[in-house]
Amino acid sequence: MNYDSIPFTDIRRAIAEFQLASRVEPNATILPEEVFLPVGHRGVLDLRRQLVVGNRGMGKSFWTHALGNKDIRDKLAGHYRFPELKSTEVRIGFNGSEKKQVFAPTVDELAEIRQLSIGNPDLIWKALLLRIAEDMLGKKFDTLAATIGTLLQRPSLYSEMLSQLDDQLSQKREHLLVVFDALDRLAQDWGTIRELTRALLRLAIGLQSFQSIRTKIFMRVDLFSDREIFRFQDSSKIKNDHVSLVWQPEELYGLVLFEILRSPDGNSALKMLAAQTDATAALPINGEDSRLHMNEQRRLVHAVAGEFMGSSKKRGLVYTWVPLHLSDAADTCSPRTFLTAWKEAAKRVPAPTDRAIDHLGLLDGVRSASRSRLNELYEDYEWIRPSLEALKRQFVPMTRDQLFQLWEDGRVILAIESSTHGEVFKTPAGLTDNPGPEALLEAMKAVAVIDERSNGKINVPDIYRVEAGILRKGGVAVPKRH
Amino acid sequence: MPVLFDDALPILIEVLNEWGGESFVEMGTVLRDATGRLSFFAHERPPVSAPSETGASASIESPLAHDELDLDPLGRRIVDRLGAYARKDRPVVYPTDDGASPLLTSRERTPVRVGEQFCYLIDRRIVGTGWLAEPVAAATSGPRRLVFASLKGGVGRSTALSVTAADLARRGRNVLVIDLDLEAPGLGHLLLEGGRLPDYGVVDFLVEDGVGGVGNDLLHRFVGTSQLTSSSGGVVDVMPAIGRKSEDRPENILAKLSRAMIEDMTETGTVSVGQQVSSMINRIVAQGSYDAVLIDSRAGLAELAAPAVIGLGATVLLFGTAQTQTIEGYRALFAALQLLAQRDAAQGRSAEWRLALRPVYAKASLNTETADWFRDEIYELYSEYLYDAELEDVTGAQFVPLRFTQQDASAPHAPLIVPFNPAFVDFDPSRQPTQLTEAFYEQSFRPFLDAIDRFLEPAPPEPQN
Repeated sequence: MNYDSIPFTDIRRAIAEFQLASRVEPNATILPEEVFLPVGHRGVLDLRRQLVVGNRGMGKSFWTHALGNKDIRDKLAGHYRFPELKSTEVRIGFNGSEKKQVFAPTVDELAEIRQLSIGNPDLIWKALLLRIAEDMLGKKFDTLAATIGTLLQRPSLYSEMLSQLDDQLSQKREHLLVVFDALDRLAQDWGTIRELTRALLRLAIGLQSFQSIRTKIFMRVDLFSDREIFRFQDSSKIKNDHVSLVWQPEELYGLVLFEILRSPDGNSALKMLAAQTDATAALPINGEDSRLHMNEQRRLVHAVAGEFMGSSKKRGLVYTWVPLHLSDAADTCSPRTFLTAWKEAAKRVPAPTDRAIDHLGLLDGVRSASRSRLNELYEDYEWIRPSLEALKRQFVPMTRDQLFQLWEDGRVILAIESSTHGEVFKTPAGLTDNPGPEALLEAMKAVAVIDERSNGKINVPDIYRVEAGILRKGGVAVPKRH
Repeated sequence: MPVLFDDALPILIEVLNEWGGESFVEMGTVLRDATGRLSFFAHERPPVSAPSETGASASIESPLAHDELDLDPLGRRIVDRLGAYARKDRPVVYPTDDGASPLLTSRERTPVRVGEQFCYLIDRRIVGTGWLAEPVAAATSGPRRLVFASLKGGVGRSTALSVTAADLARRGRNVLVIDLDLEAPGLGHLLLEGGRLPDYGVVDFLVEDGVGGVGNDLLHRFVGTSQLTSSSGGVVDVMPAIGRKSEDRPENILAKLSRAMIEDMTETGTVSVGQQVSSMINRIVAQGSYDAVLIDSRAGLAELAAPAVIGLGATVLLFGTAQTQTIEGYRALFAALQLLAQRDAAQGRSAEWRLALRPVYAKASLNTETADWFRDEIYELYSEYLYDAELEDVTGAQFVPLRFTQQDASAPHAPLIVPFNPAFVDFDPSRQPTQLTEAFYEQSFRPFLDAIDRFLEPAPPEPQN
């Protein structure tokens, strides 16, 4: 097709200027026009489903903020067809913030209060909810510490007050949603985090007997796969209908197109291109995901970035190749990682003339996105670094025995144990119970860095493997001198 | 412990490495003769002195009369280490020796990885030369070719072929079916019931080709029209392995078979079996207006499997059940193909033929564990033997190597699936014609047939690079 009239440089510049914060800070503000709405995330907004699980960068904190914003909530209510969101009051229960908030305790406050709750973590969350209920009922409320004291004296106050609020809300067809995020910052050590998390989950299950009061608990994948956290009666009641935050390729592309549309120059150029390729239906106008229009989306993406990852179809289609090469062991890719790949691709020179970026740029972009993704994970989970470094220059797939031997030779478990002074980002939860390679492997699988295949072999997905210097066995090769 | 076949090459490379280092090895060429004995063709004289004189003591103990053969120290060392696997008359050949230089630049030289490094190998064979031919990339003109191959029988290969032929004909395409499974022919009976069997078959063609040739006027007597031909759709023509004349004289079949599988001598040189098969197909195809050619073949390591797998420019469907023997069987095949791909790469060809090999997960069960196991193993085979190795330093690489992630459903390694269906166990449409009615096969075969349709699409023009 002839795209002579399309100002590809505008699209290219829009991609090169993608704004990528490395994470959503606890008290960040998000504007409605910044929000892209993936179809697959509808479950997050379902008030019935209280537990949302996601890996780093999949949108836990993003949704916490989006839910906390009235304007965005109204937008979500319409887009996702959850009208009750319009009449839902949202309060933050915890988000790991250092800054003092009305209800959510800061990390330090929580540490102090824990001393007062005398081995009864349930009281902390009940007191938190009690205060919110009192506020909504127009009553005076005390400090969190004092409220815990009151509840110690009068345990029934919690159900009295919440019942009263629930009745009132139900009558008015309104709802209360209390959001919890950043549970890994509840404490410095795994023992306490587990205790507080278990208490929170118990609270959430207890709320199921109310009609209009719910929590939304955003949980990391490693906590979700921790058996200890779910070792209490009825835990299946909240585990069974959890929502997984993942991104499908078409949602990731929707996001890329959405971000291009947000740039004024990119906006008009992309719209022209979409009109010429008969792909206007694929434009996520207003942030609304257009997953139903995959063919149009693929056409448009190919018009932006070329069709093939090389000279012909045999090297793969750009549309499928890029997400596949950025996928982790859970077959998903974080939106930031995806956007990074495109952003870097738009920086490669020389720029193509008949499209915004080309496959050579995308190759660079994927490499660079892999690097930043791995570094992101190192931030959250420091123990991944020694675990992968021990595999450097080794070949995958390998057997479990080979992996454990490499970890032993590299003294990986010892290194992880000795580096930590109880900080949770330095050691996986399971490793504190059963120091050994099995626990480490489970943890690596939980964060989708390692994959144990059906044929019993250990594999590392390309996005982490290449960056960590781990090799893929065999292949057609020729001598250096020929 | 005497040196046996598998150790011979690694030991030779070890000796050469000690003597002249990596580049001395890589610049030279190892010749393996028809018996398996090795000689090394060096590109230059090695450094004058031996690296260490461990060899000297060995030669004192050795009863071999080196002096008689007038060997240099390196030659003596090779003979000492390799024993029976050294070419004792000339373990090492230098560029100044007779007949040495053509070998060093021969197109037959294949890069082989031995431990940490490469050497070039020329493998002289009497049997199995078909596997040394240069693989043919898919033809851009003429009807598409599809080879239905399997290591063993009983995996539903003929059934799938018959269903494919029936379905294509039903949808208005003309199909030519060729039975290359000469040692266990069966398609003729399956697809040519009653009096439909032609007088002659593939075996006859190959025999006559080597004697007086087959004239165009005779070609129609090698092809029968199948009962699968649809009166409202396309034609299914079948070239069986053996024809009616062979059935009249069964005592001749073995005698003809052994003559079918030999090179033909002509005035201009020899014509390999692969070339004979290829030109046979071209001539038959020219007789009709076919949209697709379906070829039934073994994919074993036997002589006649080679042209079907690498010589016809066909899409090759490798049938297999989810069993270890399938994986290990294909491993031997793929490891041989890897060498051909490496030879292509060393000579600057991209070896696109690798993309035409497609696994078929036959008799697939609903057990996802088994299916996942099979997919994992198949992917590893492709990744280890057929896809390009990863370059450690990819910065500045100007081309994308031929590699695919496992999850890529459009990649060559992604298997086509034919689910197990007990209704097909006693498949014989000549006795039970209902087995090839659309309703009967639709449920089991539709995804497979859809994939076949994509292979049959005309090739898009290759952009110039």
